[in-house]
Amino acid sequence: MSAEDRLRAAARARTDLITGVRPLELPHEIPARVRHSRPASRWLSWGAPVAAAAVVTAVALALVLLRQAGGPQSRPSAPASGSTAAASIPRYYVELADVGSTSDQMKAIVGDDHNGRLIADLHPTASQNFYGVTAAADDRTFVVMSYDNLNPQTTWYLLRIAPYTAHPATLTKLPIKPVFAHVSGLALSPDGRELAIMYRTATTATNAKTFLTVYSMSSGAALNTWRMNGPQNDIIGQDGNGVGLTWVDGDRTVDFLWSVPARETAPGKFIPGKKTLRALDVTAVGHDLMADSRQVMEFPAWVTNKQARTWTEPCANVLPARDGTVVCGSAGGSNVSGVAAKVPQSYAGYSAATGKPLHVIYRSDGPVLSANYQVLWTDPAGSHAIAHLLIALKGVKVPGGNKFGVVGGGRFTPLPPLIDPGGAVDNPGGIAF
Amino acid sequence: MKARPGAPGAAGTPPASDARASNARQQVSALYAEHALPLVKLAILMTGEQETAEDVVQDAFLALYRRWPSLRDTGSAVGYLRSTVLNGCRMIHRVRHRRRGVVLDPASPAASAEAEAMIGEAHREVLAALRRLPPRQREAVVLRYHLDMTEQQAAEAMGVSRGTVKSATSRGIAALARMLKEEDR
Repeated sequence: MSAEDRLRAAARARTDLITGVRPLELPHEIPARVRHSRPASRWLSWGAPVAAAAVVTAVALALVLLRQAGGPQSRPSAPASGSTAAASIPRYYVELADVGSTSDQMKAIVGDDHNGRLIADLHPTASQNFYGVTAAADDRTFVVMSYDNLNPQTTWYLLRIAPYTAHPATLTKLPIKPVFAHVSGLALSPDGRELAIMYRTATTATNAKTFLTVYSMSSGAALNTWRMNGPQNDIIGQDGNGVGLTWVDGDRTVDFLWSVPARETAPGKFIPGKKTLRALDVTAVGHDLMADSRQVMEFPAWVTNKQARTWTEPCANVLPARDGTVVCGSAGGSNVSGVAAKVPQSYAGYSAATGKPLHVIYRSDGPVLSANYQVLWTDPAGSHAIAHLLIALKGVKVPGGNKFGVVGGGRFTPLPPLIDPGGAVDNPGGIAF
Repeated sequence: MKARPGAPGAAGTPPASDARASNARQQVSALYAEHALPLVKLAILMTGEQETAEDVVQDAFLALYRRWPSLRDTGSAVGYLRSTVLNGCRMIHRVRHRRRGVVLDPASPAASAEAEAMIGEAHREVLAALRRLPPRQREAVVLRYHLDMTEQQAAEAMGVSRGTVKSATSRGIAALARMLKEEDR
């Protein structure tokens, strides 16, 4: 029986048990009438489009004049922030996307973020499914993670790209022993020589064991494995693949996210939970994931603004940069269903040494229902990032205002759209630069 | 409806505001009678707890009641309710996540646990795996495979694009299949 059929049967079995609901309790207060704004005047109804057309024409004319006066044409669609860091973002990316409209399989797409062009389209075999990708720092080397549905195990493929050549992409199976487990994180070292993966060997809170293993890319040998038993290890990587596993410090250290759940010390008395970043020196000896790693920082908790009826989590999305800065992307939204609110959102750099905010990379506070600022890549200094902004706007029929581009110096510079904007970009591990 | 003593219009016809309230109450109550049960069923698949699911649905109808006078198209009320229920379930997920982190197999209240005990081990595994999915994937697979919505209908209910529904459904089903195979091993 397929997963879809099992889901249908289980959902029906569970919901069939519910035969009634408690009565509706409405307040005695009278619903307030909300004044509708006055319809736009007749002038606005035709004047606004005409004015917009005039502005577009003027901008187009100005661009033509600038191009004619500016000598050789610059590279199309490159980030226009004017900063050197923005210009040095990786050009090529690998994104996971649906194989076809009726298939549940995911393929790998190689794209060019300077011009939005497709470089290569890589399909898994019939029984396989790509479900995670990671990149080295050379803009040419990637590792794709694959799950075999017939023989349930995870294997890894080296993906080398040679854009705009006769053979733009080569996929080679890595000699790493398959893992019979749910792989929650993967990270290729920037020099492309080692692959770190994090995985669990069970799926319940009581018998789960978490492992972090570093493999040699050339031989496939496991160089070392760190292990963690106990009730806390059910938290890691719960939201997907590639969550918070990052190489820093000259490929000597792997940072990983670790959430500590709230703990009940006495009936009704709790020690609050926390979300932390830990650093593991992979050049040192040892096999204990917790004892051999150290806490780098604890992320600020989410805050609720009761007056504005909004919530914000400053570090909902986290990516450590190589030099000791941690880039945080926030999430937030309105606490009132269907009502947009002005919510301060930001990309910010935090010091891994002190845990304090260092600088704001980009900030906005426009009205949204909710927003989630994802960090897809950061430069070594943590001053610029490739960003994906998931923004839910008012009105259920309005598609989310998703944005893809570079943030830095307080500015957002859009990049050409991804090859498949509906792919796995909003899933951790679903895209790599 | 009996007019309140002392209120304007009490001597004769009911005041217009009371009439509005009565009308809103009747219409929202009628909607509740027709749609509350399927919405609770939807919410229980999202949250795993019947009491929480009923709270979320009550809140959605309360929000609808408060907005009723400003609704231009009352025919869209069911769509509004479904979106509000999904938002409420997401909020529950976020609160749980912050309070205790999201555990792989969240403890359920006794009533929910008792209910799930009646449906068999195989179905319990599927529901536990469903609850381990990220919220967006969980919403997408439930809307598509339990409510049999089209991609466009699910996109409107979730407030996202059709492409997002497609990818979230695909990833959700793939993740479910992986987890169920691991459970079966």
